[in-house]
Amino acid sequence: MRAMLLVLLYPAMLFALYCAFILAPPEREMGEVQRIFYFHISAAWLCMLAFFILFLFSVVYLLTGNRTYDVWASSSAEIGVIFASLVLITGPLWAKPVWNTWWTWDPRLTTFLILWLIYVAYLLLRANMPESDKKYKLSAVFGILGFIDVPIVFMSIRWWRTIHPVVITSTGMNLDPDMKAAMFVALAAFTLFYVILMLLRMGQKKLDYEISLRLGGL
Amino acid sequence: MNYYLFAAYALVWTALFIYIFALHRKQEAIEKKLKDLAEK
Repeated sequence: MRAMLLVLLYPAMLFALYCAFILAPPEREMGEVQRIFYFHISAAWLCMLAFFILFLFSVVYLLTGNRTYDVWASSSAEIGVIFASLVLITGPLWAKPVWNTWWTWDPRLTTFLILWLIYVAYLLLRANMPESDKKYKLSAVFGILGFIDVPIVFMSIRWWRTIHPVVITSTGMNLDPDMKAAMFVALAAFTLFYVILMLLRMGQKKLDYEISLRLGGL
Repeated sequence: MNYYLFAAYALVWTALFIYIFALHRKQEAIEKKLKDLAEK
C-alpha cells in the first residue's frame, strides 16, 4: 500500500506545483509572491490535521492503554512539527515584501508560534524520558492539553483585530476559481504526503521496537 | 519566469521523492529480513 501511495504522490505533487506556478493567475496587488500561499496554507492545514490526529490518538491511548495508539500519536506530532516549521518559514517569506516586515506580534502569528513551541516541548518531553508507561501517559496528556491552542489559532483572525489575511469567511472563500482549484490540489497532494510520512514513520517505530526486542532477547 | 520556478521546484521535489522512496525500499528490506529471522 505504501509503495502504491508513493507512486501516486510523485505526480500529485508535480501537478500541485504546476497549478501553483502556472495555472493560478498572479494576485492583483501582491503579484507573484502570493504563490507561496498554496504551500503556506497546505502546510498549515497539515500541521492542524497532524495535531488533531495526535489529540485523537492520545485520548484513545489513555482510554485503552494500547501502545499502538501512542505510536500513532507521536508519529503525527513529529510530522506536525515539521509542517508547522514550514508554516513559520513560508509566512515571513511572504510577509517581508507584503507587510514590509519578517515578523509582527499579530494574534495569528503569536498563537501559532505558541502552538509550535507546545509541540516542540512535546517532542523534547518524549525524547528525554525513558521508555515507560509514565512517558506514554504524560505525553498523551500533554498532546490533549496542547490541542487547546489549535482552535485558538484558527479563530484568532476572527476574535481579534489582525492584519493576517482571512481566506475562509462566513460568506465563502475570497478566491479566484483558478486559485481555489490550485489550493485544493495542493491540499490534496500535501494530505497524501502526510499519509505516506505517517506510514513510513510508524513502520520505522515498529521496526525499532522489534529490533530492540530481539536485541533484548539475545 | 514561472516556468523556471516550476522546473526548479519540480527538481527539488524529485530529489526529495527519490530520498523518500529509497527510505521506503530500505525499510521494506529490513522488514523482510526481520520476518525471515522470525521464521527461522
